[in-house]
Amino acid sequence: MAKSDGEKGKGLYENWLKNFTINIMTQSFHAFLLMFILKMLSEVNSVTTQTATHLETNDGILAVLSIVGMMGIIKFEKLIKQLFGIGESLSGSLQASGMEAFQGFKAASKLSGEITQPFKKSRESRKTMNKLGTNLGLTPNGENGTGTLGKYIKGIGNVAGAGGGAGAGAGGGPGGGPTTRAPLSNRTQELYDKMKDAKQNGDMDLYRAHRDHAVTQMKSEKIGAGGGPGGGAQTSGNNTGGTPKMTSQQQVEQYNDSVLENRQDSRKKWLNSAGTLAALSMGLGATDTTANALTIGNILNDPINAAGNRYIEHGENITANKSTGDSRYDEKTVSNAIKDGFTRATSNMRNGDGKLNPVKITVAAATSYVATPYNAARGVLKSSKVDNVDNI
Amino acid sequence: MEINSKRIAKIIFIMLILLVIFIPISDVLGVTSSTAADTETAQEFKGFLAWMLKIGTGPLTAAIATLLNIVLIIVFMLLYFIFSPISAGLAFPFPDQVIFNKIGFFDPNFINPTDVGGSPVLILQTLIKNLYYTGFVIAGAVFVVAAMTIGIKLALSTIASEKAHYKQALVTWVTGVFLLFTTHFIMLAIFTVNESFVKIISDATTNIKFTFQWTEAIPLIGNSVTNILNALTGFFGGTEPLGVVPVYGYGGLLIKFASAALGGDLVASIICGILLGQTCAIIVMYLKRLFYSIILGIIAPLIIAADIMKKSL
Repeated sequence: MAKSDGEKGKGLYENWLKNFTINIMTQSFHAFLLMFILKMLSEVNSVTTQTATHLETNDGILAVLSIVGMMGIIKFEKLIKQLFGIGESLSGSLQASGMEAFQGFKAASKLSGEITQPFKKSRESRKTMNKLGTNLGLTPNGENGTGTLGKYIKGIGNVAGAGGGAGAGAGGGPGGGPTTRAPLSNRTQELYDKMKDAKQNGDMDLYRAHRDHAVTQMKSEKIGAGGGPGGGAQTSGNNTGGTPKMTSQQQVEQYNDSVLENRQDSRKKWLNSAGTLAALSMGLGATDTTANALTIGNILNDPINAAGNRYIEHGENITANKSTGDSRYDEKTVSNAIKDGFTRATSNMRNGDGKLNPVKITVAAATSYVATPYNAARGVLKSSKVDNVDNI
Repeated sequence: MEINSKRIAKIIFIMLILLVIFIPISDVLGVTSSTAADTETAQEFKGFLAWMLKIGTGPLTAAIATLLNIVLIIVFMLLYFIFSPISAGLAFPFPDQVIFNKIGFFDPNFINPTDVGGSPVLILQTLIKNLYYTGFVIAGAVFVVAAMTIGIKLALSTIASEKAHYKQALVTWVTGVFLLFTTHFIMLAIFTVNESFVKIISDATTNIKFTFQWTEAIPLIGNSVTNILNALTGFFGGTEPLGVVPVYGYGGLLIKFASAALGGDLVASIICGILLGQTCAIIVMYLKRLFYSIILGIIAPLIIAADIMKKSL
């Protein structure tokens, strides 16, 4: 948050100078006190009495005075530091600044993790898709002569029940007859139908739930893999002894779902990454210190991402939702909400006419990239305490 | 600076203690002076002290004193062996020698160190210089970046209050540059002022001396030997007893009580132990001061850079 010049005035340098001066000049104070004590002791010592005792009475007084005096010198340092307001740390405001920088650093770590999510997710997506494609006898570059993934995805609806031997078989021989599949039980068929209905209605969560249930049901019924001799999609990876098998259609459905899910997740992550950068810029526009900017950016990041995720999840089926008349996921409503939120958050980075100023955004982002490592280093530097002399 | 009532009360309490101890000098002198008026307080104090001193010399206490002396001797020898190679001939770090800058080991002046062998500042001088220079260069880079940032923001800002803020930031930046190039002179000035004060004060205390009879340090027969010597002095009409050794400063006081402690006096052993403990406390305090000064000096450029960044951005 913006600070007044007065508050900024009590800075590091003043406290450093105070610490340094007191640290060095303490010796002068000690010397003056010691001179006073020694003069006192010499006056006491100059008055002597002749006795036969081992220690004279005046020696006892000398001892008391010297012990008390030296104790005063030792304690005097702490008193001087308290008088001049030197606390435990090097600067009175260091602890607050250090906390501020640390919070900013934490926020930066979290936000930078979100920015890199799309790259991690796309790697995972490729792995999942490759694995599924392998199970279905497909490879991304179509080495088995079965065409590319894209072609296969397009032809998803035509595979089941069609004579797919020549066109979709790994190691398949000449095209055989139409693929056959084992008949589904009533229960499985019922679940399958519910799956399709849910998908048509745009309720992806319900669709996935019914799909998983159907797969479990099929596993328990041990439906065999389809495909006649010389054709049909083979499950090269799934034909282990005792492992329940799915029909070609179900495998394709599963593959299709994974592709859609991965695509959706990838879009979400990319949008989240963009939202995070936007949140950071908004934070910088709203404040004048990077640490606070990062913290505010972190706070803004979550609602922006939530809005983006919602848009993605229901954006896939907006066309279908139009027919149901459900206005919650209406494209216009969602986009207006996002626009309003963005306008409010970027009000500090606009010109007088309300348009976004790209130079301001760029400068803020550039400043943040320069100042962030500096603030992180400053936080580390300031967090190392330089104590005053403790009670001895 | 906020001074709350607790702190004020603490300061007043400590001052009162010091006043109580040091102001009634007449009573104190009355205890030791045969010519001063013997007030009742002085008599009571004298009696108490005499009783305390007496109980330290019994046969039972001698054994305890011997055990205590062993510990004291070990501490003495440790300090002697640690500091004798590095204290330019002064084998023992007495508190007044430490405070009056007579031992180069504790000198924190890394800008203009005393040419005394064994001084950490002299040994680490190259390292301190390199670290300071590195911090200086880093601070310079930070100032360059800060100047660019302030310039860009000043050029792009359209609101008058923002412009004024960035102009103030520019002034602060200039101040920072000035401080960056003059801080080591400021540190040198502080060192010089401190050394001058301490030298003036130490010159004023060079003639403060104490005396003790070294024969008292002889175990078992120390008393007898001292009495014989005193008798001989009186016999020959001397004014100064034989075997009396003058010792100077606070260290001399320590030696005085150490010699009495070695003679088997428990009270002297206790007093010597307390004084030795205070000596160790002073040594530790000044060692800490030495390293804090070095660290504070090394980070000075970084502190300036951080302060200016905080104030201007």
